[in-house]
Order: sequence, then C-alpha cells, then structure tokens
Amino acid sequence: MYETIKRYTSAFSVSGREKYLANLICEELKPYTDSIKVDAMGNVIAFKKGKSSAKKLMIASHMDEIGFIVTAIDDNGYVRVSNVGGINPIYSSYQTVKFENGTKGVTVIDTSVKKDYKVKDLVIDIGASSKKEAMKKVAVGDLCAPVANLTRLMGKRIAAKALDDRLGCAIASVSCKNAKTPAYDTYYVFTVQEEVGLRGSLPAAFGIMPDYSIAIDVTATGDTVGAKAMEVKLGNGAAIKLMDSSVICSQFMVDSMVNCAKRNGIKYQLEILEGGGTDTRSMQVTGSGSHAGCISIPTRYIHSPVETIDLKDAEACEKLLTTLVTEGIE
Amino acid sequence: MELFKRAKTITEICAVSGREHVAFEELKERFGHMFDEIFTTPTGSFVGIRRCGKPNAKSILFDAHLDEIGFMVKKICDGGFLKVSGIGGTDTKVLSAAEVWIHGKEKIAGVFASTPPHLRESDDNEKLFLNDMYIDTGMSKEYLEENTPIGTVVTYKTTTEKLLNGHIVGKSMDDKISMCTILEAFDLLDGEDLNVDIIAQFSGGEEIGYIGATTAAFKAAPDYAVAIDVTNSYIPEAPIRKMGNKLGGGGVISYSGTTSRPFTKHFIEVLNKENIPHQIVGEPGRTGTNAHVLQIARDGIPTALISVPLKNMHTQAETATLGDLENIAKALAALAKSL
Repeated sequence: MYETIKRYTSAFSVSGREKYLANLICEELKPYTDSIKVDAMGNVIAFKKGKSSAKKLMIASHMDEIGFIVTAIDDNGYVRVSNVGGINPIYSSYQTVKFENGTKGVTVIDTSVKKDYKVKDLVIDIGASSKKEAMKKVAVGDLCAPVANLTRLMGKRIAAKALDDRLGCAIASVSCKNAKTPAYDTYYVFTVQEEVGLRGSLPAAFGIMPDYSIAIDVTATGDTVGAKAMEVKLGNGAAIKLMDSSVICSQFMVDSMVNCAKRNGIKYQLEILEGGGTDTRSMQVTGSGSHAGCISIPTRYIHSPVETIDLKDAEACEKLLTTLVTEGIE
Repeated sequence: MELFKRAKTITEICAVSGREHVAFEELKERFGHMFDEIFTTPTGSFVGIRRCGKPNAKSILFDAHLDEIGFMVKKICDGGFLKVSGIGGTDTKVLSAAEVWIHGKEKIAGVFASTPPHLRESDDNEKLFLNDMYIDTGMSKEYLEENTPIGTVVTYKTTTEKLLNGHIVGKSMDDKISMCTILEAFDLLDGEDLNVDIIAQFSGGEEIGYIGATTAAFKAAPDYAVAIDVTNSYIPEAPIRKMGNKLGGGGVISYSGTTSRPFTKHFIEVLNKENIPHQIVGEPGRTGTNAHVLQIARDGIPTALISVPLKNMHTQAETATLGDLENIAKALAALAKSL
C-alpha cells in the first residue's frame, strides 16, 4: 500500500491532464483484469468478470488533483494563475510547484494584500527575469501542482500532497489485485475531472450503467484543529459515508457496508461530511440510478500539500472494499 | 378519499430526502390499486403507471416530489442532546423551539433547544446556524447511542390541520400536496377513454438536487411531462415581483427559460377552454423544480410546470388551500384528455 501511494502521488495529474497516472495504472493493473481501457474522457476502466453477470458494480476513485492554470505572464516574468478545483490560497501559498514540462516555480502571495486572500492574489515565480524568458518555459493554459512530497509521521501516518484522491486510487488498485473473483461484473474506474464537478465519473457510469456503485475518496475529520462537530477520527477505521454535500448514500449500501465490516472485524466509523462532494453522486444519478455508497479515508488538511492520513485506516478501507467486491452486496 | 383526508395522510408521511424508501410500502398499500404497474428506483422515486390500453400510446408523466427537507443526526452529545446536519434548505430562523420526530430504532420526540429571552445577551440577534443548535431529547446519552445513531433522520413533528376557508397547514406541503393533486387527477380520469398512458411519478431527492426525477424519468421515458411543485404566494409587504401569486387563485403555470413553451401554451389553452382557474408567472431561467431536469432527461422531454401557491415555505407551518389543489387536479386531468 505504502509503495503504491508513493508511486501514485509522484505522478503529474492535475484535472484535465490525467494521462500520466492513467498510463501508470493501466500498465500496473493489466495482468489483474479481464480488460482495461481508457475512454474518451480519459477515465481508466478496469474490468473484472464476476461469478455472476446479473449485476454490475462500479468503483470510482479519482486520478485528478487540484492545481493551477496559467492565465497570463506579466512583464516581470511572474506567472498569473487561476484555480483548477477548490484551491485555498493559504493552503497553497509558498509551495514549490511543478508544471507538466518539469518547470518548477514557487507560489507567493501579493504582499499588498493583508487578509482575505483570494486565488487571484497568488502568483508563481519561476525564476524568470522577464516576460520573454518566462514564456520560453510556460504558456497560457499550462497546468501545475505542488511537487511530490511524502513524509512518514510516527511511522504509521503519512503527510503528502494529493492523497485526495491518489490514496483512493491506491486502495482501488490494491483491491483490484487482491479481489481474485468478484461476486459481480466489477468495473474499477479511475476517474478524471472529479475536482471540477464530478465530470469524469458521470459519462463513465453512463457507459457502464451499474446496479451498485462505490466511490473511494477522502473525508475530513472532526479531530482536525478547529473542525466543526464531526464524529470521524483519524485512526478510527474506514469511514462509511452517510452523506456529503453532493449525495445522500443509499441506505441499502450503508447497511451492506456496515454489516460487511461487522462480519469481518473491519474497523469502521460512520461519516457525515458537511462540505465537499464525491463521485458517489454522479454514479447515483446516472441513467435510472444506482444504489450508491462511498468508503472514505479520514484525512486532515484536505487540499493542502500536507494531507495527513493513517495507514491503518487506508488498510481498513481496502479490506472493506475487497470484501464487498468478493462477497457481494447484501 | 375526501381531499382533506388525503392531503393529511400524505403530508404526514415522513420521507426525508435520500430516505424516501421508508414510505414505499405505505404508498403501495394506500394507492397501489390506482395503477396498472408500479416501479421504484434506488434514488427514492415511486412511479405508478396507468395504461390507456391503446397500442403504441404515448405517455404523459406527472411529477411531484415525495421527499421533504429534514435533518440527520451527526453527533450525540452529553445530557440527551443531538447535533444534526441539514438535509435540504431549512430556514434556521424558525427552528428554535421547533418540535421534531427522531426516527431512530424507536421513534422519539425532541425539540430544538432555544435560549429564552431572559437569558439572552442584548446583542444576541445574529442569524442562527444549524451548527450552533441542539435537539433536546431528554434521554440518556447511552440510550441515544443505541437508539438514534449517527445517520438517523429527523423530521418536523407537526400534524396537518384545517384553517378557515379551505386553508390547510402542516409540514412538507412542499411537495406532498402536489402528490395529492396527481392522485385526484387519476380519480377524475377513472373510466375515461384516454389516448395516452398516464404516469404518476413521486420522485425522491428533489431537495438535494432533483436526483429522483431525472433517474425515474429516464426509466419511465415519457413523451410529455408536467412537474407539480409549490411556489411562494403573496404575503403582506412581500416583493410582488417574486410573490405575485395568490393563494386560492388556482395553479400557477410557469413560462420559464427551462420549460417547453409550445407545451405550456397548449396546457394554458386547454385550461382556458375548460374554464379552469389558473395563474401565470414568467420566470427567466431555472425554476428550482423538477421541471428543470425533466426537460433534459434522456433526449429531452417537453415539460410544463404548474405550482401550488404556498405560504411559509420550508417551515413546519406551510399553508395552502384545498381549492387550489382541486383546480390543479382538474387541470392535469384536462391536459391528459387533450392529448
């Protein structure tokens, strides 16, 4: 799991430009699937034939991460940017970022702004001394994101960028390898453009038309400094989602997940996330609808470059997912 | 069934968005006999179809949403208090001291705790947020942990009552009284020789983003659709621009940017011909109703919108009139007969 997380968080994969991670996942999972393809949107769809083909199960974890898109380059060679996905300017300031072509830069805040920072107050210094020089390396429309970083804390925890949702991808990937024979025809989908409105999973789900669907994504925790009332704690196990701002999970899926966790002694907790959406919604509402649920990984400081998780939670999430895939949903 | 009794029965059903399936059995039992076929969806919609019996008949779908706004338990606190998260757009201004049902393993009553005026600081007039409020149950924390775990839904406790002049008041008139108009229309059409199949769609998840209407309509695949929802009616000093419709003036038909103009026009012509009272409103863009998503379900469904005038929307004292319900039922029946 740890190695997979490290590999996946190292890939460049800002929303809309997920092909590097997609290629990595395709190569890695090919031997474990009946078929694997990349669709027109860029979603990776890994298919495993089930014991029964009467039902279809779709699993979604998103490959994309939030980042910046270049809007202009000013006369001093500063790169002006807009956000791709939900950027918090404080979380994203004074970071080293990397563009798709490998160019590096640092994000700095316009010092004339004293408070209420907006994304437009962030600029990127790539070291250029003029507009002309900057334009040799960076063009309008280029994307960038924080450089890969991963730190182990106290051995059991990890702080890294883009665990939202590379960790979900890692869990789905490990599960895809571990789930020898799924109960139903199962589609492990690694989706694009989640951070900009759940856009990849919607057409992917339309193509599949699942009966059951499970998203794997991160959730906030109530034990983060200054958090609102929330029962989820880091280290307390896989979080079974009841609701977030985009979806109310099907009772049927919630019950199935809880029963599965109880039966197999998997540590779990129930989750209500009051700010944030997931691919669960798009899978729930596609076509005539599916029974949709979400396994969430408790995560502190989401959308910062030091998103922090507990490896035990990630392992519990993987075990829960794999057991649901192999034992079926009941 | 007498109209008030039907309105009371339906509005007192508790079906919070995302948890509408708890009402399916009751709906089937009470109204199942009115349909030839029934299906439900994973997204909380209950759909009843009555066939006209003619080969290759087209179909018209009447949509009203089954779900209501409510709350979900998110934390169990010491002293018998619960913290909840909102489902749909609750007006927190009117929550203080509201009575609720908590639908745990055992259904228990509760009340939103409020600070009495005697104890309030003088500058305590700021807007309340749900996150600052608690539901008082009077039970022990141990009992609550067992009986009302995280995820338990909470609804208003109000019953539906008659006021004077055919007015009725209760919770979740939005949008269960519109379900009532559809059922009344089905009664009016009983035994009529129709050219179209008629579909009653009681959709889930409207209050959380129209999820039940779009998915159920995808499955039902009708040729025409009418959404029936509620609309704010005039109260003193209200901005006329937004609340020009009158309680008792009949259903409010919307010409909007996201409904079908030809179909809406046809609907209005039918009502004029049949002398069925109605009101007309112009809305530039989205209507905030299922009409918006029905119009773009599948490869597009010509959709009209008719609304029940309502006072005090999204509170536990939503007020409507029986006369409007009757007129909307007549309107839907006339429309079905015209096709």
